[in-house]
Amino acid sequence: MLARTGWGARLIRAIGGATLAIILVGGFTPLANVINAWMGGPSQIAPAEAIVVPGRGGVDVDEVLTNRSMRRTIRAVGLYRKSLAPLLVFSGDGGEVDARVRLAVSLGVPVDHIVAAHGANTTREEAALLDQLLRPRGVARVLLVADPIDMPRTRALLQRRGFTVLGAPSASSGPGDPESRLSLLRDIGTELSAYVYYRLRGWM
Amino acid sequence: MFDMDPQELLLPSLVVVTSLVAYLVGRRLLRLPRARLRRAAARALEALGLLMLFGVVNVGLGIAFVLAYRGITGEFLSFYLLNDAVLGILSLVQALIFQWWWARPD
Repeated sequence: MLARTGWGARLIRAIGGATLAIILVGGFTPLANVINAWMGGPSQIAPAEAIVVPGRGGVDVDEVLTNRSMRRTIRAVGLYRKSLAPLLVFSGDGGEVDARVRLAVSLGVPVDHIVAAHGANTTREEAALLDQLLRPRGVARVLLVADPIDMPRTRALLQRRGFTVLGAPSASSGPGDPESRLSLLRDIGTELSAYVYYRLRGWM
Repeated sequence: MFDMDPQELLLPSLVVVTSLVAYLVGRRLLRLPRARLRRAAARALEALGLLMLFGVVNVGLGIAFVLAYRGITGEFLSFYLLNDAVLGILSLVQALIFQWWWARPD
């Protein structure tokens, strides 16, 4: 059935050819960057009632934020310092939230202007937790700081909870070397799979 | 629209040059027949195809495992554990072993 000269071998070679094409196009053209920017949507920097920073990547074993998590945090602190919102909201796993709070405080954000949203494991749980924490504070309009590829799913979940979401994508131009572009392409595939999964489950 | 940094031509250029050198070594020094080059390219595509198949099956099985783990234990296990380049490398090893096992001796 799968003789090396039969249809099985031809199919596997065709898959191999497609894989090679994806590697070349993904690594040596701006395809990943274009998809990345498209998923992020336009930057909508405007005053809001809170700056929301969902989790991404957590912390390394030494409790230092991962690159992406740190980028988001720094971008959010920058927006806070421009007085775009009086409240900075960090969610994610416990260690990530704590490390973000420490970083924000060290950058001059008063502790009482930070909401630490502990306890959510998934994007859906984050949206539910943010709803629970921010509604009593009268927050309805949020500035969402996330990687471009994470924007569609997070934005849709928050909008479904009734929030008005302004997007402030971090790292929107994407990487500039082949290896990082391929890595981004893999992340895009992962995120699109998650998007489809959420749609199929009826969560968005 | 497509502003490619000229520095990015370095990697493909290196590969083109070393491929040409390897071709010359094969043809002139090792006296390898040209027809076998075509077969070698087909085998390389087979290896990549098998890599993709093993990768997809490994990730699919991983997703099923994560869902089952969450359902059975009620504890959280992240899908992002599967988004790891090491799984790609291990899939490549699987693909190569399977391909060599599958290959007819010439």
